[in-house]
Amino acid sequence: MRILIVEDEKDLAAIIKQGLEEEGYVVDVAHDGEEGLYMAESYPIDVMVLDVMLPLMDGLKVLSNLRKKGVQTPVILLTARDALLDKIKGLDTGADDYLTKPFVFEELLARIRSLIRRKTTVKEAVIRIADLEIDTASHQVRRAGKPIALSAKEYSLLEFLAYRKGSVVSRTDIIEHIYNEDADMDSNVVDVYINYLRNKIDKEFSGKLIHTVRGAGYILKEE
Amino acid sequence: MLNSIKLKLVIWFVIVFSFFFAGVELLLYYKLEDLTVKLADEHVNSEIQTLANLLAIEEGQGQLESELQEIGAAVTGVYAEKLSGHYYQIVSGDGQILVRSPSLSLADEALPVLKASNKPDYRTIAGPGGEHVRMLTQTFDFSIGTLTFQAADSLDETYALMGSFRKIVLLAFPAVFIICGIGVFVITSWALKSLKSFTVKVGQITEENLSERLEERGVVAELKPLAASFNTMLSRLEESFSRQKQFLSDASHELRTPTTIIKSFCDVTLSRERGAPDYKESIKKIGDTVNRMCDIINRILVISRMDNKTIQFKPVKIDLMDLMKDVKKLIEPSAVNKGISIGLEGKGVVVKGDREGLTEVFTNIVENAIKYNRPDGTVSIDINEYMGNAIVKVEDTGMGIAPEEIGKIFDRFYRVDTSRGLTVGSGLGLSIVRTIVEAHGGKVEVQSEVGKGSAFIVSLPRNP
Repeated sequence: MRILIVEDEKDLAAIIKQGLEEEGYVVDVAHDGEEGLYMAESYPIDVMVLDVMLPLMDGLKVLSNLRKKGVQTPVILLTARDALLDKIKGLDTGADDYLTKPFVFEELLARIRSLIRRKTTVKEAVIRIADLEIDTASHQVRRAGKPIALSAKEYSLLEFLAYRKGSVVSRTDIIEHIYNEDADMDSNVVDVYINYLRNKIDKEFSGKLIHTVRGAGYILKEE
Repeated sequence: MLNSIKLKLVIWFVIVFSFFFAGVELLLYYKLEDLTVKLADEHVNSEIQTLANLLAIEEGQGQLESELQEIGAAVTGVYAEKLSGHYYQIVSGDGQILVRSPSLSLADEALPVLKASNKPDYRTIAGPGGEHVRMLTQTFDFSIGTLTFQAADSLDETYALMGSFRKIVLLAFPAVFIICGIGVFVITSWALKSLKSFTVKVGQITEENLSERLEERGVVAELKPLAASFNTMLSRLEESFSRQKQFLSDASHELRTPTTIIKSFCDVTLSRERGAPDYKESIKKIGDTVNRMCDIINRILVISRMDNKTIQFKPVKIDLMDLMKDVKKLIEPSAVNKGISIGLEGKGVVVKGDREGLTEVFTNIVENAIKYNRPDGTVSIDINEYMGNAIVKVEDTGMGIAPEEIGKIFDRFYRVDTSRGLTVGSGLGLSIVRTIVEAHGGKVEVQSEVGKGSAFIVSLPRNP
């Protein structure tokens, strides 16, 4: 899952980025409104964390520009103001959620997960495919009740497929959602990670869950 | 209670009215006395005139001697009653009492014989019956020589009348006093009613509804200036309240950003087990942010103290060139980091001011000139004097300030919408600069051209 942080306080942006990356998200950072707008339009962002007070273009303007251009990326507004009117204005401009500074980081994580679920068919923090369980809050993965240890990248890939369970996901999609703009990746890397995942999830269990769709990509589903 | 307009009015009115009442009564009393004495005078005068005329007529007929014998016995009425209070006597030139009215002779009394002339001599004396009498003594010339006529009338009735008049007045006085007091009390209560309703209206205005004003039209004429001053005061209060509110909200807003950074560092760092370097890095960042917070808090304190005028400037003679050299030395390292050179020109001009305050002023200005400069730019400082003022000009080669922003940069917490990511600072620096410079009787001006740079010009009164 790919998250865009638009925050002018560099230290704050850096620590949020670190925290989100440790949670397995792919994170892009913009430090002003114009850069934020450009990145939100150009990259397949899953959730945007948008500060309201920004240089060059304020957060609400970025948001209204995005919505005008038809970009439906879920947006969490981040602001130091907790005035009711600001909240109403923010939500009416097209924000999906609102968080007042200072916030508890866990809350930001929970709100991000909630927005990701809203876009998909998943309704719970735990995604289930057959006997495979993925807990998106604790990042624990089990199959047939047995815990499976995954690397951060493997988990990101599995989670991305799990949120789109039952649909075909292209290699480009996968690359764009598990790597940020700084990475210049060959799509072959996806095949490598799919292989790792298959070894851990499918190999020792009955019933394959990861399927290759020739010429299109991959799909996570029950047989 | 003692300090009340109503009570004071009542007391004053009662005092004034009492004096007035007493004055009128006294005047009436003496007028009355005067009048009754005059009546008595007329009475004794006509008595003597009658006697004298009678004797003159008898003298014309040659019967003066016999008349003198008879005149005492012939009278009737009050003069015939013993010690009736009405007397007369006729005294011969050698002091012999020739005639006495029966009221005298029956008691064998006489009126005191006075030396007399043909001019009437009125006096009040103690009469033979122990009463007060009004006595007239006058001489008339007859053929047998000068005769002195004396007549007296009792004043006791008059005195009794005066006495009862006095009694009535003394009795009426307390009653008048009380009635007048109550009357004034009622009148002032009624008159002060509008003041009371005005007070109620003023009392209804609290910090919750400071925007309300007193209606000046319905108010009585005397209270109109008061209502107007109240409204002016309310306007000032409201303005100061909203400024305080704004300041508080801005200040808390400014503190939220560093708080969020610290909190996020704590949350993220503690979310999992880490190695020592990670913790070290986090704590270092938290420390940096705490320093920033302290800086903001200090500046907020400086501003609020200056607002409350609790900062006392200690004016000393300061050579601005020396001061600027110190400021330059202080800031140069951070300028060198950005490749910016600082030039200092001009001559030493001495002003009178607070060393710490002025150092703060110029440190802020030069720091800004570096912060908003382009890399490898220059900052040039020029000190000069012009028309009795010391002029310090700090010029940079930075991005400049848009014309619409220039008016706002001295506002508290205002930050120019800068180029990418440049938002370090509290937004309080220039506000402090202006406050300190103005406290020194000087002013700050800004000239700026977007893309070329800005110049901050501080002028301070030169030490004479």
